[in-house]
Amino acid sequence: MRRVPVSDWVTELAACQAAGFDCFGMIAGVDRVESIEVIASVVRSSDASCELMSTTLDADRTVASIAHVYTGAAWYERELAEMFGVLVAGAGDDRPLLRRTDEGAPTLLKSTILGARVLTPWPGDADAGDDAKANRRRQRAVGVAEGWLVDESGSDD
Amino acid sequence: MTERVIPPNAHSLIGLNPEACTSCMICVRECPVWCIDLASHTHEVTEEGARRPKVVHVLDEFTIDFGACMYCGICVDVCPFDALAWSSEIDPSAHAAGGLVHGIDQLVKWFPASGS
Repeated sequence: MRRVPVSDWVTELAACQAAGFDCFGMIAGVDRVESIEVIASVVRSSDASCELMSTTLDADRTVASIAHVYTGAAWYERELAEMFGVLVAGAGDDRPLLRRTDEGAPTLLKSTILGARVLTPWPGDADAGDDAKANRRRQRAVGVAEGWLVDESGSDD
Repeated sequence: MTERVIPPNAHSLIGLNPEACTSCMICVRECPVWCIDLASHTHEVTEEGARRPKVVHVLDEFTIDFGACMYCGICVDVCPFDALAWSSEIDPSAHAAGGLVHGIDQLVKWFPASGS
């Protein structure tokens, strides 16, 4: 995977297209906690070779749209904006894909508390063995932040 | 019509060997989408010559909801007893989401004979 500065994102992908990478693959966001990483893949149909490129966004979480280079990128950029709160500069279409507008924090950020994770009983909460002895040691599900799961006594440990 | 050949190492389904499972709950707790459910009870076994009976966990129920499963394979990787394994069986469809929840009876059929 080739890492490029966010300022060169459009230029580098346009260079890929000029080099024969004629098919757009995908754009994905990754929440690295301290920053958001954006990954794009493009494919050269003549030999099926794939180019993976990534960039780390600055604190303003802004990346320039490549939809004018690869038209298919527009859908993924909408996803990036909706799920990771990334501002895609120059995107022609910023309608949300799945969620209603203003429905809370971007869903795929690690800092976002997912309602279903709080409301759904975690199957791993029970201890092995007798049900009567369950919950002797309360554990927390992987990816569930402290304080999300609160039992009737009000403690979460 | 071209015959589709499924490679023998295909990650299609996950099978369970209930005899190897110790109900340790590791797979249940590591599953990122919470699609595994397990119920067990304890049973005392007195072995000849032992000073006191041994407490063993007996597996009662084990279900995987393949409607929620994202086939990441973490459960297969973390199982310390190789009780879970990839199967190359074809993923069955269902008329409703509940039909994709499979228990021990079905999961044991998907456990590959030689492990994986």
